[in-house]
Amino acid sequence: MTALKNYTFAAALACLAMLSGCGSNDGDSGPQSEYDRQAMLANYADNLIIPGYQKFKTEAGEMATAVAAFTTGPTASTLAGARKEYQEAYLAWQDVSTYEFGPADELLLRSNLNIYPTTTSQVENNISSGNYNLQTTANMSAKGFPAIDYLLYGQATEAAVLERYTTAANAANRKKYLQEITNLIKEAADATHNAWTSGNTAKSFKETGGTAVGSSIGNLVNQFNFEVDLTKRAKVGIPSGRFSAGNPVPDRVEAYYSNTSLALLERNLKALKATFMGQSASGANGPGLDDYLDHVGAKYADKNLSTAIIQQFDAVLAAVAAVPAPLSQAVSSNPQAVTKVYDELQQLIVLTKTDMPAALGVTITYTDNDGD
Amino acid sequence: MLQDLKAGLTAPVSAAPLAVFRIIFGGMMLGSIVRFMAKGWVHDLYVAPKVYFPFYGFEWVKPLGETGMYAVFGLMALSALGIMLGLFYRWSATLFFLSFTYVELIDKTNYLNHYYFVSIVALLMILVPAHRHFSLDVLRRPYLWVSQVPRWTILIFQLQLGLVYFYAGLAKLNADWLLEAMPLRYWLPAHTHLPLIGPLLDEVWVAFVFCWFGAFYDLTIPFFLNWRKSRPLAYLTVVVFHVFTAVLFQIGMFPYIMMLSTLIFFSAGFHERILHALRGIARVKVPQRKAFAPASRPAQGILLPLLALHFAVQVLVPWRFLLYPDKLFWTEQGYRFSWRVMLMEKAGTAFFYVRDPRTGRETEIHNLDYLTVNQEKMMATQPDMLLQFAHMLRDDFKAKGIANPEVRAEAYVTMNGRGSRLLIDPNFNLATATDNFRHKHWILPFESNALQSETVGQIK
Repeated sequence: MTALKNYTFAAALACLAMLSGCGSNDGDSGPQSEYDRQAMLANYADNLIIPGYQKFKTEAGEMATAVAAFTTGPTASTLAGARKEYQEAYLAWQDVSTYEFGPADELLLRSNLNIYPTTTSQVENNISSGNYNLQTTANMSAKGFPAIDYLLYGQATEAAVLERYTTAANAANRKKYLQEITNLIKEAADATHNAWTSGNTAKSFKETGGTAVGSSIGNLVNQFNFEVDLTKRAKVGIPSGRFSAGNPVPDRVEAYYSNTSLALLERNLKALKATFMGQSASGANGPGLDDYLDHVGAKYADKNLSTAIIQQFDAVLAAVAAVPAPLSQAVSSNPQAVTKVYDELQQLIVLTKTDMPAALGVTITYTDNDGD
Repeated sequence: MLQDLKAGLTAPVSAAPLAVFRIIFGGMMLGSIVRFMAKGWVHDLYVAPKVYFPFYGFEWVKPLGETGMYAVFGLMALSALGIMLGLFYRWSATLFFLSFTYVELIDKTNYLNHYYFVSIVALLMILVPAHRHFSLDVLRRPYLWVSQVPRWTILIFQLQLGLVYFYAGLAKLNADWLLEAMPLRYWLPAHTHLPLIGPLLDEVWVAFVFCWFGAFYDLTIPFFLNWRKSRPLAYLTVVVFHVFTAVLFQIGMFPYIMMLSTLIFFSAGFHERILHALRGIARVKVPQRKAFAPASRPAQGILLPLLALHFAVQVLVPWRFLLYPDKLFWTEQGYRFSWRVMLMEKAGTAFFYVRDPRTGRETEIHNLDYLTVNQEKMMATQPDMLLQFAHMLRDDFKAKGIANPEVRAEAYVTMNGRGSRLLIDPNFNLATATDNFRHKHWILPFESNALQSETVGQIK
């Protein structure tokens, strides 16, 4: 027994001696220093998520007010007001759509707010019958921003849109429907913001450490990748025909009727980049996933993985800027430019969905599972 | 000499270790199955998926639908209980082996080394008279009772456990593990929130200590457990080691199975004391005589050579990777069934494209239209699964009326901290490739495969 103890002890000492040797000349690829993950989570909660929902709540409230003004007195001026506020709210949504965990997940924000293309026949049926339940799955594509987009822009001219709310049959029902689906967005924005500011959400987000399933970093990274994938596939891939043998499907772009797809896409990508960097709306760059990757020494080719990801975001944004608006026309008239956006997004998702989670020890999964 | 060996293997030893092992194994399995069902995994893994990835040669193994799968798991739980209690033992052991192995064969997505280990142990359990001591079968039919069993009935479990550890240790003797502390260097910092040890896990030297200790532990623990003098300390190490792995990694029941299974290395006296305690609880008395399990000579005569064959296979199978070119971790040709546990961090993203050769038009696939998140994740890094999925797509598009669909995959994989790169030839038509044990020539070589600066994208 004693002999064994001595042997183990000596072996342990030998190992340690060898390791300390390794450690000293290995400084550049290992963790640089202490990394405060709590500070990173606090930065996300206090400087990105909560301010993001605050902004979204404000914009959704202004949209509801402007739509109320429009439905009470439909004129060219109130229509313009409603359209302006709708666009601002939709842009504000792009800032927060990646945070689909906690309250947003419980409220199914992505599904309730942004299923596109909107099913116009369903919208029209609801309006003409005046009898509908907006909480059903069947009505998910008949509400949210895409339905408002249709209701505010769905006719060739502004006058034709106004006519729908004034002299057309079902004008009263149409006004009621528009107001109701707008209010639903406002209520969802209020509820999410409220949960983050008054309940336990922010506290538990900051305190749930580790990277396992259900941890804050695990949720953040998984939903970040879900969003990048959705952006790539739904905002660009499907309309450009990637999933339909190369035949473009223009009416599947986001915000088809208002022709604002590219602005929303750009806002979404900027928000994702800011999320990756832990950068607040005011531009303050706090501790984020990029710093965490640097901390664990994640590399891609000859540079830091974080640098590669940021550069790739910039490449995507540059490709988006080169696409002539509207996207629904560009998919047919300028397919090379759209393909460029898609290819850059493809490269981005390889980095964010493959290299990043591997380096952070985050499992890409939505359910608990055993490994070995 | 062979006679000496046979005499040694068939010599009578106390039946207590075998009975305790039976109780532990049955109990652990029952617990595992109940946990599996409670987590809803029967539905998630064997009912919900639209497609499955069977093992090569076992394509005929199919799931049985919701009712069927729950029935299988119900039977599996009952048979595990039967093993634990020693009730209708041979039937229970056979039923358990068949039901457990059937489920594992359905989808290689769910392959875990410890499931493979369970299947092997279950198979071995069928062969031994573990029910003839401290069991309900003995209570039913007292004439079954024995106090002694042939030595090989205990030896085979010790040997199997020893092989698992030893090969797990051998697998750790690679440059990434020993010289880079990969993948532990990536995995440990994920647990810095843990009390006490948390802050240490951020240190690279700690990852190195874990790596080197892990390799040393796996390679030597069977011997230290086997040697009476070192056994108590070795077992303490087993407990500490597996508690650590249970805390740090999401590996389910495996640590507990190993912690309890290794008790089989302990002496007969130790196990007799356990049974004595259990008898006290159950208020049963042990007969004051000795009885040796009468080895039916022809059966044992066949069994021993078969077991020798089994262990020869066990020893050889982990080396089959040597028959394939390139880096094992990259190609994963000959990776499974070799006790390579927690050895690499591999993640991938695979984009599939189906092309209609008549029109030249290509469609990208949204993998989740076919696969579960878990299937997609496992598929993206394993060439044989990429091929299987390509064939599913081929068949699906054929059914949709495309005569000879071409399927190719752009799969980016990162391994042990090396930047993601293409795993297979993105222009190779997987639809016409067949799966077999030969080298898959369309796997790109690991080292010369530089990082891609541009995505391959769709054929323009």
